[in-house]
Amino acid sequence: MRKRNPLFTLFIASLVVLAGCKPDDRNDTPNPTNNTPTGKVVVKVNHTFGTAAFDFTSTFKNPSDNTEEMKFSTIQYIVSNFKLQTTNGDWVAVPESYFYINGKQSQSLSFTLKDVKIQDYKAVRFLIGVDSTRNVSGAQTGGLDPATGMFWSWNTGYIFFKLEGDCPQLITPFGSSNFVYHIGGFKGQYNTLVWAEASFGSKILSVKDGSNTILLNADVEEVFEKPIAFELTNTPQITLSGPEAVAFALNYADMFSVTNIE
Amino acid sequence: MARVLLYILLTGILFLSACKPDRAPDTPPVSNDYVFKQPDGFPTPVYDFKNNTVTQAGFELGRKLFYDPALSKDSTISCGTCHKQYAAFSDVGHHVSHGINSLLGTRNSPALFNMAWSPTFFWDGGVTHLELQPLAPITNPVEMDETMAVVVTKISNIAAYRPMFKAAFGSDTVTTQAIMRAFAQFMGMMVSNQSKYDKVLRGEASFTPDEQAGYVLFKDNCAACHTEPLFTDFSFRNNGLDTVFADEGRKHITQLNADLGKFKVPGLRNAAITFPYMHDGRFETLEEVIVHYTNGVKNSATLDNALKTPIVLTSTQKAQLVVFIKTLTDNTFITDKRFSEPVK
Repeated sequence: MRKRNPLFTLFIASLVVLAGCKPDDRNDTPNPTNNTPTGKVVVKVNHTFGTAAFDFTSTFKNPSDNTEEMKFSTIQYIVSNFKLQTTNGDWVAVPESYFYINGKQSQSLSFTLKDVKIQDYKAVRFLIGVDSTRNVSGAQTGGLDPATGMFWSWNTGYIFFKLEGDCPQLITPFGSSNFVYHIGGFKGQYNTLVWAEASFGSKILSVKDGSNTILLNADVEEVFEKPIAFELTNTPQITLSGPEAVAFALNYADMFSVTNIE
Repeated sequence: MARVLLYILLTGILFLSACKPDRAPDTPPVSNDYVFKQPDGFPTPVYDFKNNTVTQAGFELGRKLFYDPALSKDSTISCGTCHKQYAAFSDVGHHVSHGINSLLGTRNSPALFNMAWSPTFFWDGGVTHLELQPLAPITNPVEMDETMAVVVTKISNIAAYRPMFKAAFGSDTVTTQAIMRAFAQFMGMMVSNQSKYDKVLRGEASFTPDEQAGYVLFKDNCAACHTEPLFTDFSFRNNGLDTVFADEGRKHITQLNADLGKFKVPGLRNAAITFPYMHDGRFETLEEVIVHYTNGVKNSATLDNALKTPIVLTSTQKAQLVVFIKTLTDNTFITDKRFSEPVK
């Protein structure tokens, strides 16, 4: 686990599941009822590029190529269907958890899981993207407001993940050096929904009254590394659902890790 | 004692009336005109009005938005620009849609009615929900070329809208969802079922002999795809227009080769007033359309089975078919004041 220096050794997304059309509800205990006491968990998202801090001004090298230089202009994605794993192994769903993350909007980098059953937890799991039900349920609000731009207006469905920027080594058919990755699609073989999963290591998230915080790290370098060594010059643009989008989603599925619990 | 009781009772009634919610003294009573009514003989709508019950306030908000050019980037075109009521909300006379800065789209602007029954929208069926349909023309670079975020800001800054949102949805905060639900109420209420054809089916009118002959021909030759009562089965088919496809149609959405050159079967209600025809507006008249089906169908890998054998019609029969299609024109719908541009 080179390049990573979080507090404890990380475990990331060992389980990358192509999620099928619906969130994976196996082994879930039911959502807390109105009578069950619940707490809140704040999630704070930090972006890195390997060991470096992520920003929109630095130039980063593609780890899979080492010649391609990247300067990013956009990173946006939707995370949803949060589940927390109790210390005895059960997954507890957090109701109505849909959040829009925009690397350029600091207020989006912190969000609150509400109605979390009071218990001790050791891991978190969430979908990168939007379950098929909400893709087809009409105009939504909050993290799913189409006004965020995370929506294909001509082919109903959310864009789950956007990464854009400039790579001087790249010349697209349109004569630009911009790369554009808009990843989405929730149907059949081109379903790009992936689960991210991160353990809290030796830490325990003890949800009580008041709020607790999960510090979530998103390592953008992971997008380019595996399973596919991704070269921008080979695939400068993905803006439709399809096999390339599925491969890209599998690459970013392992970008999340938990660096601390507070 | 009785008089005292009467006073108490009357005062009570006054109080009760005073408590009626959100009703200004001069507001007309709630009209039955703003309730979605299931037409006899139509299937259950696809759009679920239970989640977005039509109210006069919501409908009027949708109507105002429909005719508001503020939805386009340079505030020059509204939905009503390309969807004209007198042409059953089509862009009559335009082969393809015209956007801001006179940009041309690639497809013929469809007529709007009976959308509550449509499982998909657009020629390629890319949009699958009535509430999400308006996003496409608003954000399309060659149509209104605006972002929803800017639309929400623009609408929020127009003072007249605030009370309308409050009346329709209980909050004067403008959201994408509220805008889309208002649109869905307005568009969902656009029901066309008052044509002569409908009146004949209800026993309120009768066909002329030619119309009746045309109806029989229609049922024999066209109704397999243009299924009554909506005159479409909402399927996607290659109707033999081309052998090489400038517009890949349904394939653009599904990415399946089997969908190359397929487009949604359009409903034929009001067809006589929604020319030109086909996804690219290539045919100007109903006669040209019929000649296509009798003599012009071109073979390709995805050509619809139903068209592999040409339809055979005499010139008299072609004329009878046109006469029948004209009975699908709904003058009540295209002159219904509820759907017209609000007076500024």
